[in-house]
Order: sequence, then C-alpha cells, then structure tokens
Amino acid sequence: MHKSTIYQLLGGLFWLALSVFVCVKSFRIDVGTFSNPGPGFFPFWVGILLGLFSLGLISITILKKRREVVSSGSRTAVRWYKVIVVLVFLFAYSVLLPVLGYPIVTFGLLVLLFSIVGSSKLHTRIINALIITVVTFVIFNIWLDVQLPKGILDIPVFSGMNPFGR
Amino acid sequence: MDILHNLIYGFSIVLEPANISVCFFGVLLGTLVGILPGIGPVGAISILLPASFHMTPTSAIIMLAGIYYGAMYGGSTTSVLVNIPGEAASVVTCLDGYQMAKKGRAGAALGISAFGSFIAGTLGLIGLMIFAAPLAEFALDFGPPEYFAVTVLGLSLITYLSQGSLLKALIAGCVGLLLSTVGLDPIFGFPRMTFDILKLSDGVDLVPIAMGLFGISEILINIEKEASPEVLKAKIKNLLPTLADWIEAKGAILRGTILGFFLGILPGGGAVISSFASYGLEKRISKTPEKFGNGAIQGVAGPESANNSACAGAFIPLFTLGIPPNIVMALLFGALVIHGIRPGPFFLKDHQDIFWGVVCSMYIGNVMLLVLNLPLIPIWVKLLKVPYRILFPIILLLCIIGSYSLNNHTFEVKVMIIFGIVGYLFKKLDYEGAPLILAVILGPIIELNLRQSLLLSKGSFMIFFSRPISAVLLISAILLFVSSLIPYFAKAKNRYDSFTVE
Repeated sequence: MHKSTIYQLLGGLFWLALSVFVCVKSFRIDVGTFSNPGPGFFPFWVGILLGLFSLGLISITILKKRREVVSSGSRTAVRWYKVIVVLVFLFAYSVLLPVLGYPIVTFGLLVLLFSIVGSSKLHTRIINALIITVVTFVIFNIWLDVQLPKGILDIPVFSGMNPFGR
Repeated sequence: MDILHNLIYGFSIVLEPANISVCFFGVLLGTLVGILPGIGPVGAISILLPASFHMTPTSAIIMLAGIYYGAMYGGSTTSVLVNIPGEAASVVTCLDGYQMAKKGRAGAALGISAFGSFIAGTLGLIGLMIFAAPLAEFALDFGPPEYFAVTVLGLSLITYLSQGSLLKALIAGCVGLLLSTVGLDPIFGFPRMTFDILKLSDGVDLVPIAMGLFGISEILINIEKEASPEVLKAKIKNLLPTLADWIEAKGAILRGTILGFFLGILPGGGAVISSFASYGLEKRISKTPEKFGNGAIQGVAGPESANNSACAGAFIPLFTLGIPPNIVMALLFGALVIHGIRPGPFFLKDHQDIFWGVVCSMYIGNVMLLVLNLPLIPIWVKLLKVPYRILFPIILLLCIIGSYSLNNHTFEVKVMIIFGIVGYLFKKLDYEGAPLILAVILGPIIELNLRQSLLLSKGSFMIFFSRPISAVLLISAILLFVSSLIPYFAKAKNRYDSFTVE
C-alpha cells in the first residue's frame, strides 16, 4: 500500500477514535432528550456525524485503486526535521517566556531561528535578533500597551517608562 | 434624504483627526499584511485588538475594518508578482494574475485589481447603506429557529469552501463544532471537555486557533521546503489599464461586486468564498474559458472585486443580526463587546455614530487604498524582496505576540502552536482549515439556538419547517448541500458506466 494511503487511513482512524471518545464523554455528562437537550446533546450528535464521515473516508481510501498524488511539492527537498526543531523551540519559548521575560527569550529564539534557515554569520544573526527584539518590545509593550512579561528584567527602566507620554 | 443626512453625520465623525488617522493607519497596515504572506488580516487584527481597547468604539472599528479591507487590496500584489497569495482571498488571483505578469502585463493586472477593488468596495458600501436598515427590521422577527437556520445555511457553505475532498471538509467542520463545545455549556453552565484545565473553562479562543492553523502552519511548510519565493524581476509599467482592458473586465467587475456582496452577507461566506465563486462564474460564462489560467484579465478583475464587496456585505449580519459571518467579523464582534456594545437588531438605532462612522470611513479608506496601491507599488515590491529568512521569524513573533496579548497568558501561545501542528498535518494530508474555523465561529450560535428551539417545540423538529423564514433557509441549506454532491454522483456513474461497457 502506498505511504500516502496509509497516512490517509491513519487520519480516518484517528477521527473515528475521536468520535467514539466524544460520544462516550458526552453520554457521561448527560445527553438529555430531544425535548430537553442536556449539556452532552450537541457534542454527542456531532460526534456521531464525525464517526459517519470518518467511516466514509476510511471506506473510500480503501476502495480507491489509483495512487494518491502527494500534495506538497514533490520536486522540492523536504526538511521535516527543521519543522520539529522549530516546534521544540516554540514550546520552550512558551514555557520560558513568563520566567525569563520577553526580551531575553525572544532574543534567544530569534538567534536560533535565524540559524535554522541558514542566515549568514553569527554576529549578523545576533545583531538582527537584537534589533527585532528591541523594536518589537518598544512598539508592543510601550506604544501599544501590550503587557509583555519582563521576567528577570522587571526593573524600572522597562516598566512604567513611556516615551509616548501615556 | 435620510441616508444623505446620515452620510453627512458619518463624514463629520470620520473627519475628526483621531478617526482619520486610525483609518489611514488601518488601511496602511492592512495593505502591508495583505502583501506579506504568512500574516493576514486575522493575525494583524488580533495583535491590534488590545491596542484598540484604549480607543473609542468608533475609532477601534474604523481601524480594524481598515485592516480587513486594506488586506484585500494588498493581497493581490503578492499574488501577481510572486505567485503566492498575501492572504486567503487572493489565492485565486495567482491563477491568472501571475500569468499576466509573466507576459509583461503585471501593471495591467495590478491596476485592474486596484480599480476593481475600489469600484466594488464603493458599490458594496452603497449596498450596505441600503440593506442594513431593512434587514435590521426584518431581524426583529428572528427567533431561535431562524438563527439556527441561517447559521446552518452558512455552515452548508463548507461544501463550497472545500477545494479538495468534501468528506475531509465535513470532518474538519465537525472538528470545529466539537472545539466550539469546549468550556462551559451555554445553558446549564456545565464544564465540557475541559479535562480539569481551568483555562479551558472559557473555551478555546478563536484567534490562536486561526493563527496556528493558517499562520504557523504556513511558516512550518515553508521551512520544510528548500525553495524560497521568487519575486518577478520584470519592470512594472503602465499601471493604468487600457481601454481594451476595461472593456474586457467591466462585466467581471460588476458581476464580482454583486456576487461578492451577497455572499459576504451569508454566515460562512465572506471574501474567500466570494473570490472563488467569482472566478468559477467568470470561467463558466466566458466565451473563451481556455484563457483562464493563462492570463485572462476577467480572472483577476472578478475575484478582486468580489473579495472587496464581500467585506462591505459582511458588516450586514454583524451589525443587524449580531452574527459574525466570518472570523474577521468575529474579532470585530469581540472588539465591540469589550467596549460594552452588543451588535444586533437595535444596533443601528442605538449606535448610529458607529455604523455611519464606519461606513463613511470605508469610503475614505477605499480612496486612500487606491493611492497606496498604485503609485506606491515599487515600494511594496522592495518589501517583497526582503529575504524570507528575515521575514518568517518576524511573522512568527507577531503571531506569538498576538496570541499572548489576548489574555496576557502563554496558554494561548501553546494553543496556537498546537494548532500550528494541526494545520501543518492538515496541509500534508489535504485537509482544509477554513471549514474548521467557520464551524468554530458558528458552533456556539448553532448549539444555543438548536437547544432553545427544541425546548420551545418540546422536541419536535417541525418548528424549523413550520416557520417560513427558517423553512426557506433550511431548505436552501439542504439544496446547497445536495447540489455539491452532484459532481460526485456523476463521477461514480461514469465509473460504473465504463465498468459495465468493459
């Protein structure tokens, strides 16, 4: 069986499992009746629909005789490992953001992201990361009043001071 | 005469220095986000939503609306020059716009996009002024069955939104509906699918879902590939369309305007589906359909007009029914609610300053956009030449800030990342994000009104068919769904016929 067909089947099975999970969960919190729908009423029936559609998808995938066309550019090189690395960085960013604060974590993230896409020299990456961090901090935290966490840099020079007079 | 007085009133509001400034800022930013792939009007509006809290409601909506329709203008620039849509409603413009550019007619493509957008935007506003008040009166007759029926009609547009597998679109729609049930039940206040996570009691926010599904996933896909987008190197000249271009495109502009306006009114319609529908219509009625995909000017003029008039049409259900027909309107709805204003049938009467201020700002905004999008194109082209390795971290950062700023919490950032993974997998497995987002928006309205209707009718579904408005709307939804299945049955019949012949 072609790899893409296997992925499609796995997708269908995932949706089927999700529909069963949702239906069971909804049943436990009270589906109610048609004349008195409970909290579980709507998710239960949507879960049933999802189950039917996913069964349809599984059936069609199995019955299809032609090989499915791979949708994402087959002629370009695929660097899926970089995707995983970026995702790890992003998750780490979301965990460290409230602890270390926006300036430090953002600077670190940008340096790492520039390395991922093969930006030239280290000092160029550092300078670019510094400029973007400072500019975005000024625009969003000071000008637009978005409460970005300062973390360990929570000192008077970064909080309360507003050159735009607000 | 009433409309004239109201227009004078509206212009007096929008010409205040604060409002004209935010209008300009909004359309400029909208053009910028329209041009830059990876961040669209949804991302930009969600990032600026907290900033709008410090403004008056009128200024806030003027600015946010400016971003919305400004992005429609800007999106065509990238589609024509780089063959990458700046935002979703400009996807179709890539098909013929880029082909025109390759033949040395980038100027004509960009020019007709801008002028078509201007004409459609202006006519759409006239439609908004004419239809809003009568629809607000009409909406006073809406009860739970009617609200349920109109949102089901919107949801049935999923079948038309899908470019690929219908089943996958329906699955994505179901997932969106299930996502909309996370949190407290709207009638009993019972927690559902919260898994004892306190933040989930308020449900899953729409903005991080959208940014993850569309923004983060796009970035992940681009990181995965070797190729970077290449900007067309040919010199852009003759931005004013020729007489021959106008003759060819005038019908497409008018048809796109009307189609886009009415599709924009429907929940689930909006700029994206309007542009696709317009392209399909132009190709179908054209005497030379083979030209489409090879640089047909109607393939640019129609969709670009449709997506702009849809912006105007989309305000009608928002202001008159209190139903946001698409994700951008859902964000504007949120902005109004935060200012203590509830859109609905009484909105036009109670908040004339906001309604007429926004309408008049859109007139002025459309003029500003024509100026921004024609003479300043060489500047926008320079922007496109910024290497993607510099752009993508900035876009990523903007998405993170946008998600974080919703509740000043990293929970929304984590949700965005998770949906970035979902969006990435969706793209790899040929699922579409638009049906999911649409269902997340409409799900709470559908559920509440369905349950209220069943309570009223003591469990009988005849309540939906015994009331004329909901009956018409539901039957239309059923017909729409059934008609979208026709190509599948035709294909199956052909396969059966060829099998029996053998």
